[in-house]
Amino acid sequence: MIGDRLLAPTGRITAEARARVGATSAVPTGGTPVRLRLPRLGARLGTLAGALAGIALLVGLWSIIYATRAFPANLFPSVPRILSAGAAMWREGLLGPDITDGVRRALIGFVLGTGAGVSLALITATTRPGRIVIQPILRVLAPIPTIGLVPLAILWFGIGESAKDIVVALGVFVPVWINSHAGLASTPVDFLRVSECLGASRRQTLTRVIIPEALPDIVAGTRVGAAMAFVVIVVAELTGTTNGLGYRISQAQLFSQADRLIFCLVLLGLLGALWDQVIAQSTRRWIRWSTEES
Amino acid sequence: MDLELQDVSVLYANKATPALDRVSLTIPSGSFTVLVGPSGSGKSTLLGCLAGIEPPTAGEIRAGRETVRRPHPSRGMVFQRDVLFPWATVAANISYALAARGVPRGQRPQMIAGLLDTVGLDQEVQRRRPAGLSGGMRQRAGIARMLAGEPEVMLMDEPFAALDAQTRLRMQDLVVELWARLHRTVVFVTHDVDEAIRLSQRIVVLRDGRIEAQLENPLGPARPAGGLADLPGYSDLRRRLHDHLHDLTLAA
Repeated sequence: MIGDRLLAPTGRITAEARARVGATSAVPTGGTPVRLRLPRLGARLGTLAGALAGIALLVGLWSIIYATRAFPANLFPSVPRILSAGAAMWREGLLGPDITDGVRRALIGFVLGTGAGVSLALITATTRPGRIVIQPILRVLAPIPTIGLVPLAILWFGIGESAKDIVVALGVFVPVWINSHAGLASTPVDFLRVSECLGASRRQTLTRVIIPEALPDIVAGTRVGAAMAFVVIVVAELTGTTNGLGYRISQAQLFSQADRLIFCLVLLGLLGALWDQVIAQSTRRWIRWSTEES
Repeated sequence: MDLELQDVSVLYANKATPALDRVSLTIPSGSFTVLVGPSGSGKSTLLGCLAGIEPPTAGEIRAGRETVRRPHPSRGMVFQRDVLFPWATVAANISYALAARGVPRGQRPQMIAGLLDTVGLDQEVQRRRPAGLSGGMRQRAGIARMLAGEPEVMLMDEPFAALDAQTRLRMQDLVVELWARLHRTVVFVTHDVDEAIRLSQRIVVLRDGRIEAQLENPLGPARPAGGLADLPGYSDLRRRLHDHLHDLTLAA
């Protein structure tokens, strides 16, 4: 066997042979590679500074428009008034439960939607029945707006928590499935050929080639799904509940409290951005290769 | 392992002329055969047929006593692009090939170290991903992965085409070294006449999907890159090869 011959101590290529074949080392002569951490820290600080500058710009623009008095102050409140509305909701004991209930629903829907999206993508992208039977059905169902499913969810599951979780899950499912399917179905032919030539089993090819290669797309879909969870939660909380940020937004609209409404919207945006960062950071090590390659 | 093609034709659905047209060829076990010819002459298709990744439209391909119908680790393939998995470290790339042939996890690290040693790569390379390696190092890692499958036949499709001249010569040395040590059958595709002369025992010239000529290489085993032109028989072989390829170029 070749391996035996290659691996037996006596069979190893000698130093002379290594020199003849141009043995290559990745370590530069004279020592271990030095990792430069300072530029990475600088880049992170730069990103943070950029984000803060963007927020400052938005606050500045908002304040300028407010100062022109082009819109009524009760519909277009000042930044301090929006912040004090948030503080008032906190003092009234509304904000804490609204955030925890809203985030809980978004999380449950996100987990359900992501699980279903990735699982079905595996079936539609890598199996013939999935591609022929299930994929066309999902293609038809995917464009249906989630808000259109709310009445049906209430009819089927009532006005309890299940209906809200299902609505959020459906909203998350679509982008996760579309992105995951695209990634899993587009493995470069060369990778599959290499796997075949090495004699890998179908399971090995799936778990060690197709899924890792598709991970950047799956993560991208998951991040869009996370954003969708916070969009859909507003729709899901419009009926059948007395708490949650969506419910608070509908109440604020009912009583013309633009300051509270805007504060809740900004809070939703911040929570969504935070969640997106959690996903991005926790998956970074698995998809770092895709940025290295490009 | 002998390789044999009998009246093999490959016709692609969207092409009027066949990529391979009734090709018959025998490649003896342990030989080093180089396929040359202009673009579109059928070199890579022929190699793909031997690997089992290009099913023939007609004819039969045999590897030893077996009819080739699909890829098999006994016929290892190295592609023009190294095709290392970019998400995996070099060690994980090689480990994949070992796992594919059922090597227990515990035995793999020692085998990976041995394979890297064989292809002349430093052990430190194990932990690096392909993006952090030079073109030559990537090809060496690709060859190590192919060897991990314990192939009896090494099929190489212009593996050094994208490398610089110096690295290319070193890689040629590596292939010759491996061939001499392992006594495997090698089929190597190249555009480069000097590469063909330096590496081969026999050169097969392809034209429009057919075999134009088969030339035996008279050079001895010692073929230094710098002194190739001084070896007896080199000039004659180069002239004959050039005549064939020149005709082909004019015809194209």
